[in-house]
Amino acid sequence: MFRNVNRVFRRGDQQVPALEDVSFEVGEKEFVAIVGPSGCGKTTLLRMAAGLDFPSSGSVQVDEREVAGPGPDRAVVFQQFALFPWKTVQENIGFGLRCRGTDAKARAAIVARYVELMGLQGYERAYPQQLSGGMQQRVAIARSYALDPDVLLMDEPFGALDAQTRVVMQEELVKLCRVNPRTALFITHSVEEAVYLADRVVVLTRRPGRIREILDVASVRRREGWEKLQHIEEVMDLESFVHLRTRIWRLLREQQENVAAPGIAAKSA
Amino acid sequence: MAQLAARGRARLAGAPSTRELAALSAVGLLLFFGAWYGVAASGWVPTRFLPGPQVVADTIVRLAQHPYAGYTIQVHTLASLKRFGLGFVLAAALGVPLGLMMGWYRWLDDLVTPLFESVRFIAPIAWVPFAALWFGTGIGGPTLIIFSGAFPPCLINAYRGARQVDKVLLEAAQTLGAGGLRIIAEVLVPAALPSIVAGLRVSAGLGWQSLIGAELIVVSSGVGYLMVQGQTSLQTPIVMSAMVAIGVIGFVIDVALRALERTVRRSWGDQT
Repeated sequence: MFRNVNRVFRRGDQQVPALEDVSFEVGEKEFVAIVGPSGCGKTTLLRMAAGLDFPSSGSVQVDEREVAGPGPDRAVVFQQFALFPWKTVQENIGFGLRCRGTDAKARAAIVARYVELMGLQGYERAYPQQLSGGMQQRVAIARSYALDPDVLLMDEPFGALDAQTRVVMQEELVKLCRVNPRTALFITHSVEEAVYLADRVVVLTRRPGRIREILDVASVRRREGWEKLQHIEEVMDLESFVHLRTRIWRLLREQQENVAAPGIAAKSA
Repeated sequence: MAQLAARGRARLAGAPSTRELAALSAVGLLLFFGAWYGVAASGWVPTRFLPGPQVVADTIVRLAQHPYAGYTIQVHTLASLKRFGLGFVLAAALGVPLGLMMGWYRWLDDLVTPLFESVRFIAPIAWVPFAALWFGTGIGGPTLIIFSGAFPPCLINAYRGARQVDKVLLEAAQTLGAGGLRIIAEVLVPAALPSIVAGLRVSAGLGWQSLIGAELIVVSSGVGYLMVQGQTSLQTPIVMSAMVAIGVIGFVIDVALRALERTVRRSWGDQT
């Protein structure tokens, strides 16, 4: 999916490298999370997959085709929800379907299905600003899922939510992915979230972002039977979970300490 | 924190309430009419140059009943309003879509902006000779002049509104598969609506002002024409009656569009 991707931003006359030689692949129906320090270019990676940004060199491919621009085969869930404030919940969810030209009857059926799946019954005619943050993000996820996209791209979708809502949404997303498995790329700065949700976790270094390590969570999850547990806190209590989480934290901390070292600090400044 | 709160309270205490505002407006009007009446009655200025408020009011009533310069004052006003309406609607119908499209299509922005930025500094009144020559003094000429006054704010505000739309909404629409026209119609227009309506208000004011300027020169009916006729026959009360009519109509147009602006703001305001 990502092959030797480099991305350089221009800031005035300066060239600021954001990503360096990033290569990895997301398998069919695989859920991959990207974690890394802020400013490491994780959002840029996701935007490239969405076709909202492009690599300076290297290539970003989806289904063996170079990404040329945004499209409904790759749905994006934004941190800021990005719902249309002048459209009701059902109009928001149905927007992509209307763009596709789905007829009204089929559209209503699909919208109703996702309204139910995301627990939005009774709010179909509400406007986004009348809903809580958690509800708004449910609408945004429903809006993306309604298009039945091949790839789901989520940019810190729960970053703007309070801790409790966040946990509920994480559990819901796991359920949704079980019913409706998707190829998914998920950006987060929460290590727990990444380990809980993902099949693999990509750890990026500080800017310019390179791949520090890719961890396989899926095999641990299967081996230790995480799926049998219903709640996130039960999973988070397992030794296998704690172990993975600690490993990722260490990888991230290494970089913090590198920054603290004077020589490198001078270089990065 | 405490300091901030204190400042907030001080400002609240200093801000006049609605009732105080109304009282202040009344005082202002009273002072103005009092001074006008006083100066006119004192005899310092010949009444031929400055008739008192009473005389002007009487003149308005007389003009409403007896035609002057061909028509009663209502017919003159209506003629002006018709021209204004045509020019304003034309300006909005062209300016708003063009502004929105310039906000979305970069090439159109680059194509139109240099031309627009130089043309818009030609004052509406400077279009008069050209307008009269090409479009005549009937409906075409005055319409063009109103258009030249009303068009720039329509375009500029629609453009700014479109440029200030939250980028993430545009990206969301794109990733959901929306094409250019749908994005303009369903994302840019609603998002830019408050700005567009504010532009319409400015545009209406400028259009109305330009119209009167145009009527001073070209046409044979309308409030501006009434004024010129009053002036040439040294009928100061008639000139002042026309000025009152211009002011009142302008005020009414502004109040109407302000109400529209408020409605739009209220239903849009929550999320921005």
